[in-house]
Amino acid sequence: MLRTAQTSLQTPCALLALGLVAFSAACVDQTPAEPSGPCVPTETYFEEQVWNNFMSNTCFACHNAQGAAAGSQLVLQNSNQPGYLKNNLGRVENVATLERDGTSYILLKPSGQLDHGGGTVIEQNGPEWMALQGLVDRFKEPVECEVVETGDFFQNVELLDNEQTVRKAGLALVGRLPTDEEFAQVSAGDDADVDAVLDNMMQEAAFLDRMKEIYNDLFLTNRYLGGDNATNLLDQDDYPNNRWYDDLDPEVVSQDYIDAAQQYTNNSVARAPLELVAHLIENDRPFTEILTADYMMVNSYSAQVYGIEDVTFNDPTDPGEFVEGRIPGIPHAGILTDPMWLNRFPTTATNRNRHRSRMVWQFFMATDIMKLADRPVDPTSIVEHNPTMFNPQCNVCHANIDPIAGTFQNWDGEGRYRPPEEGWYAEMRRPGMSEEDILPSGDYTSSLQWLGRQIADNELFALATVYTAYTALTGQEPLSPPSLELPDAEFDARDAAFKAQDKDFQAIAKTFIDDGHNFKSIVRALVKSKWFRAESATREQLKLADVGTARFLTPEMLDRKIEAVTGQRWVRGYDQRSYLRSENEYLIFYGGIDSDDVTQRITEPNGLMASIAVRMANEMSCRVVPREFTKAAADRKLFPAVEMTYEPADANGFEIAGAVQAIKENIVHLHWHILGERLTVDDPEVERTYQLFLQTWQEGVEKRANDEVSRDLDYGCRATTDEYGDDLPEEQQVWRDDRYTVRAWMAVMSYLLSDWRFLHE
Amino acid sequence: MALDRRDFLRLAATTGLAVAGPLTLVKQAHAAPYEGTFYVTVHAGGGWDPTSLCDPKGAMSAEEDNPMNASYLHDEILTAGNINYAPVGGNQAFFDKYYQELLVLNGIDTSTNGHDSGTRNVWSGKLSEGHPSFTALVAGVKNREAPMAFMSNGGFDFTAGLVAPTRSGNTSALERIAFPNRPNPDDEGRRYHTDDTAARIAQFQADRLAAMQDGAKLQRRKHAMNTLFAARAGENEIRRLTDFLPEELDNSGNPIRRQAQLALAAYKAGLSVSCNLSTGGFDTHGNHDQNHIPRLQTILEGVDFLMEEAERQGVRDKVMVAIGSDFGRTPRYNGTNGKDHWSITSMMLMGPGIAGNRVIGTTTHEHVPVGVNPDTLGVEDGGLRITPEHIHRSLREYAGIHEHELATRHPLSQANTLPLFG
Repeated sequence: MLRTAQTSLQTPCALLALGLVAFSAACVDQTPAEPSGPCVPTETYFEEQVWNNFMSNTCFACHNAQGAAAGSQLVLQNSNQPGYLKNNLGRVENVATLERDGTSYILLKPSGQLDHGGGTVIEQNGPEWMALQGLVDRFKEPVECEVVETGDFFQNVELLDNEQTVRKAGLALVGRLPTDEEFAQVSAGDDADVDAVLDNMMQEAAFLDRMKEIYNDLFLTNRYLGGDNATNLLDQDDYPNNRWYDDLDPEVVSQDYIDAAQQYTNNSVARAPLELVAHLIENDRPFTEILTADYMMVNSYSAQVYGIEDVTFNDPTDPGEFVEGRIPGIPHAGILTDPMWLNRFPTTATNRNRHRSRMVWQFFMATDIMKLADRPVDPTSIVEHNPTMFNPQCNVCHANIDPIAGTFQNWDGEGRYRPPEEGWYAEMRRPGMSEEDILPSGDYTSSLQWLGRQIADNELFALATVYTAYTALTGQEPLSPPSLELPDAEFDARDAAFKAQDKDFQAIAKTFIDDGHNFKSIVRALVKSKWFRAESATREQLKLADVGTARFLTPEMLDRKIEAVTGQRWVRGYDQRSYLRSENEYLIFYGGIDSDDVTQRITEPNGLMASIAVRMANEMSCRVVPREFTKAAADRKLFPAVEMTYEPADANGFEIAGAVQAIKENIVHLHWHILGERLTVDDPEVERTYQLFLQTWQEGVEKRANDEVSRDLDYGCRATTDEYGDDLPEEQQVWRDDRYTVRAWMAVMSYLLSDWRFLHE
Repeated sequence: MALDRRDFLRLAATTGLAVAGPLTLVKQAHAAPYEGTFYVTVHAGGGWDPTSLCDPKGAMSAEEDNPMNASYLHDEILTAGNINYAPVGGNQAFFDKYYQELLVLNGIDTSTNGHDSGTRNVWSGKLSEGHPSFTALVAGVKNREAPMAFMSNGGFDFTAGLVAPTRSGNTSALERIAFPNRPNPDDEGRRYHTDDTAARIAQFQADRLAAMQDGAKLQRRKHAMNTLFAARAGENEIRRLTDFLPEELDNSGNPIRRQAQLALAAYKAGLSVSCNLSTGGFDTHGNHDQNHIPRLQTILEGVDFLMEEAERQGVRDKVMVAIGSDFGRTPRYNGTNGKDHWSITSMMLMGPGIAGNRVIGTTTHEHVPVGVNPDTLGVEDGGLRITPEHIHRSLREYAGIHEHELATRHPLSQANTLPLFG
């Protein structure tokens, strides 16, 4: 991309012709600047000729919210704000429409022909001036280009096929492998068949659990699960029944019931924000209701807490049955007014809801407000009264934060509905979406409902939701515009990647809006996108640095994958506690979060995590392999092609061809089933795995002959009971391993279960 | 893992070490026990108030309206050696015990009031994103293959891909992690696989990973493969940790103490280069004195415990500690007796080679920095303000990593060099 003032104005066409930008265009009309070149859309022209070339430095230095020209008609956004190019183009156009003697202000001011606070910063008829002239011409005579992709960003990238795609999606969304029928449906099918399989998956309870997991990574409201952590946050004056179970009479109901009621109640209150997420997705409701719902989710336990009486339940004892409920007198606005969400993002008398505002920007408008202040501030130099209003160092953020903070005015630090008796702080910006878009006076007592509607109507909400889903599906943050300070080659590569992704995500966001803000439409689109399906490349390219998913699975995702692949969970034997989900076991060591002190996941493995993976692989191979051989071949997930009697060689060391063939075929099956690798029997990786089996078997046979190892399996690995704990008939039990084949397969299973591909998706 | 150094280098040469770290850094598959300085940062999460600690500003009189600090008078400020400190909480015990080792840096300008950006600046030396914390950088340079090279309990632990961070969970699970091939870690006689088989599995895995990396053309995937390989390189060393863990871990409720126990055990076992210790609760916008001073005491007690435990482990002279926070707190009190965010802060450091009983940097009574002379470090009108970048230049030089390729990949301005550590 063009970033230097030395670049000729004619070069964009030349570069386009050379294919150095991602997209070209077929001309419908021509801009005067490029009479014979391809059509360049005005936004591209603005970016390459104006913004990157000089405006991002020469003009933005003063014309920003904290700059010397903050009070002018041209206040530009920096690249950390989504849509900054489009917005800046619009602002430039506004100024450009002003003219004196037929010449636009946007030309007169910086060239010193009109009073300009920054003096003369560009030369009349110089390259920058000419670039602006070209832009002004485009404003007067709009250029419309038919966009045609000429250089596919993913040109050298190999993608997952349909089967591999639904396998990856199944594990990511519902923690299971697709069924044979689902594989069959997509193998010869098209995108519609992939959609159909995804739609089936998205009907499952596991999908909703995954969605709640995703949104808890943002909201962190699971912090309040357990004990009285949630109910204790509720004011007893507001909710005198917050501990309704205390009134239960132990003479009438059992203490176990009371204890259960306490736990169900607390956790139901804590889970309400995430249950709203699940409710909207499950029922194909507009996801905007996450901010606009005039209800909250309650079950029979939490309904009593909140005094909600006009709700009915099919099974009042079922803590999993959530319905829409309304607290009398509360102007609900989705999660914004949920007491748990408000407590998780608290405020103080001096913070004045700014933290909440920041979170709203981040979660629902794809904007990290703190990044807007990319220049150092010096509060010690501030002399103004009320600097957040009047000091440019402060108002770059506060101009965005404070209006939305004001819309939380009716909710205090503890999440209680307490409209301020004397109104909102007069010395702050007026509540609203922005300084221009203020809260109507009639909406003051229901200000968050108004805010929710404004955000729901904002395109940034759709983009933010796409970002959240993308990160959840891939473990990767969306790309950001590259810094203009990067070396040229890196800038160009990253810029191409950002633009390609931004274009795709904008399109997905539009699909989401067009589909009535149905969250599932994002999932369908993302799964089929090249960002999800990129698997390898034919050659290395800098622009592909951020392409291809390689997520180290979270503890929760690995936990589900283990069960999906082996049919058994990795749990502690005597109480079925999940090793990977328990804070007292490996959850934190393996990079998980507790939603309280530990809120950021570790995304790359360290030595401890690698060792946990090895332990998991060893334990699971010990549990799974012998048990598999208690079943008939047709009922096995892992070993359908072999028996324990299949040895690779006879007593004289001669290969048994039929057995070797079966063993290798089973290895092919394992590579696909466990790792998602589709290999043939003669693939080098199949041979490698076979050699592991063979050498382990040979070692065992030799050590058995020398009596260095037992004939029997370790007692912890013996399969003497079925999955329900009932004793198996003796002939079905597997505890002897005379031929050492079970242990050889255990080695193979350990190898595969701790493989890079198993631990990553 | 039965890889030799040549194998590792071959593997590294084919992979994303160009991203994760240069080939020249790769030492060996089995990381040698690390015995150099142990670099520890202690983070007071939320923004601490140096005026209640090492940059004291007392009330000018008992009658002063909204004084800098209501808990003590200016005349009551205490001194240990050359260090002034606020006469509150457990300050006296701490400063009396450690002043001879302490280097106090006052009037540090973090240039921000944001928690994330402040924490980032204080512990990386850069306000902008993308730069690793000092602890991650030093671990990445000195022994990135060590299985617990960089331990983090919070604070700023961005690694820029230089090293994998390690979190500490329930330490009772560590034995099982340390001996993944034993069904019962206490029973040496039982194995899931024979030792030969376990070694074979590891070898085959490494060979397969190398083959995959050879074929990988997407940098992200290559990097992820390399990271797993590096993590596995030190896998067998974790068992050494169990030799040094205390029989009983601290249950006092002070999180720093337990974090310190595990950190020192890992260091003593040669597994760790650096560690972030961290505790929060310093963001006291309301009832500042009542809430903040006990939090400071938690930090000071935690640091004291760290040094005592280091003494017990016989590594007292190897531990460097840097104590800091997101930023400082506003002069005087707000309407709810709290203090808000203030970009000026302090840090305290001690460790081998750091001359103690010194204070560098001064602030006015209103906690505004006074410039320092860049050569003498004395007070100078119009002198420069100390920034985190100055401190991190000194830290990098102190650790001997300032010219290393990984450090220069995240450069600090040459102009920001001050002789802070002597």
